[in-house]
Amino acid sequence: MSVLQVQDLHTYYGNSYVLQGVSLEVEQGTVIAILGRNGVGKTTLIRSISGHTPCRQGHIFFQGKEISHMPSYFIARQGIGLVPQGRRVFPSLTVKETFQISARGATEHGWTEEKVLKVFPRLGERWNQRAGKLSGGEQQMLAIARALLGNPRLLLLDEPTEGLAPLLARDLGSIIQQIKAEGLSIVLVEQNLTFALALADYAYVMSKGRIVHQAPAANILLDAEVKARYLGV
Amino acid sequence: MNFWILQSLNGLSYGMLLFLLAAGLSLSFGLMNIVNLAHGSYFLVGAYVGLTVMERTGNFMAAVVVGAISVGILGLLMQRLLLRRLTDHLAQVLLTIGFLFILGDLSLVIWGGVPQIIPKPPLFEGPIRIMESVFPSYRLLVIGVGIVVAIFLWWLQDRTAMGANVRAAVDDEEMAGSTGINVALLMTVVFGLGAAMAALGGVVGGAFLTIFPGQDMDVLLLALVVVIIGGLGSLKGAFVAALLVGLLDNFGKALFPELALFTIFAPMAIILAIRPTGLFGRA
Ligand SMILES: Nc1ncnc2c1ncn2[C@@H]1O[C@H](COP(=O)(O)OP(=O)(O)OP(=O)(O)O)[C@@H](O)[C@H]1O
Ligand SMILES: [Mg+2]
Repeated sequence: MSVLQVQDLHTYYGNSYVLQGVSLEVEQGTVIAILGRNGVGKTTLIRSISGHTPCRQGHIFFQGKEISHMPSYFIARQGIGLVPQGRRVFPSLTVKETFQISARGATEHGWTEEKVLKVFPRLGERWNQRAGKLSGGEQQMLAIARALLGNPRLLLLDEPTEGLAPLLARDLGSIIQQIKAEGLSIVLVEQNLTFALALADYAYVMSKGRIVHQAPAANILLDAEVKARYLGV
Repeated sequence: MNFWILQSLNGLSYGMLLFLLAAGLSLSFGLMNIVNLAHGSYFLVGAYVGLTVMERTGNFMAAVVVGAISVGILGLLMQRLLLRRLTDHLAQVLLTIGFLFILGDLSLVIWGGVPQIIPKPPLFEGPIRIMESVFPSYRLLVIGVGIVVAIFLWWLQDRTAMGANVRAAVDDEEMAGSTGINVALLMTVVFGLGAAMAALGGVVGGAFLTIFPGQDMDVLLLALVVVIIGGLGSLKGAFVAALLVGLLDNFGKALFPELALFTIFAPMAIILAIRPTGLFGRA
């Protein structure tokens, strides 16, 4: 069963025509990677799904329900968590307050405060700090924690390794692995090819607002032509 | 000596009214980017509703509660149905000036043009003796109410989940939405709260200032000055600036009556020249 179905999405910023017919599917419990160079429309795709920049044409089905023109808080409450590009934590809120306002719908086995703190013990140490005062790595953890606390079924991760030191990026990889093992489905946007393909089951390659290639992640790694043409490797 | 203490009390109590009035104006402007020139009407209509309730029931508490709640609902409806759809400031100004006139005329029709005053609650009618001096006890009550409201608002903003939601929405509205916060609804509630506070100011003030047609514009002008001096969206700024303006206005009128509003606008110009975003405004 697929959790998310995106069908022929067309999205604009004013007159600028960015997504030009994007379709994709995410199977329950899998990680898909969205790859592509700068400015091809990866973030715009994420923004269309999360409701920030609604598509002008096309459909988005989440667990069988159309969400393409719903407000973003509704989409979030349906079970789509967002970790945006650039983290975008709330600078004037403390870690504790961020946890408070994000916690939604936790069941016994869900993402409770305790469970999230077990994954990110560092956030517990910074409990009463304002998010604006945290380091980049800590902010990335907080951004992921914020999304998990909403107990999503699907997680959208937009370039989570951007600006992180290699060691931190590696830690992040094992954390995403851990989240996946909990049964979450994940859409992972990345420029870091090795990072993304190590985690993903399936990958889509974008260029100029379109999906130009799709294949199981392992195949992309071996596909010299696609890598050279669309990913600059 | 007594002159200074009494005038300070008058200035402070007037300042507290300005705080009740300006807090909502500052929030709607600073947080929602809504310019609401009908904010002075909330003060006036609140005062008149309070007057009617007081005449019918003789219960000052009831006058305060009914005045604040009815005007709060008026504010909620105005924001929900009209104001939040207008992102353009000029359109907002035109619409809310329209409301200012309509509400002013409606009040004139309903409550007449004669200046009126709300009877004070019996407990606070007379003066109170503290040590050797005599104070008007109602003024002290107003100052107390202002302090309690200020503390309540600070608590709401800094110590509650609702306040954290508002701060999150101000920090990053899109991400607040993606965290599951219904930002539009939250802003409507905050706007209604601001209108209710202005009405509270109207009822409380109606018992020591007179209520008269045109007062909506008078208080709006001072509230705008308070918001500009304090800084958009800052409650702390609104509090400090309201007391400052209240004192300046009062001492100005008492000491240099011929200078009228100059004693307020001259300091405002100086503060803006030094700090263009106001005392506590964000750049
Ligand atoms: N708010 C906006 N208004 C107008 N154009 C925009 C806006 N945001 C992005 N764009 C344009 O849309 C195109 C796609 O941008 P998008 O952010 O989706 O790319 P991306 O693949 O996420 O890039 P990156 O890897 O750099 O994050 C770009 O040409 C960009 O300049
Ligand atoms: Mg991007």
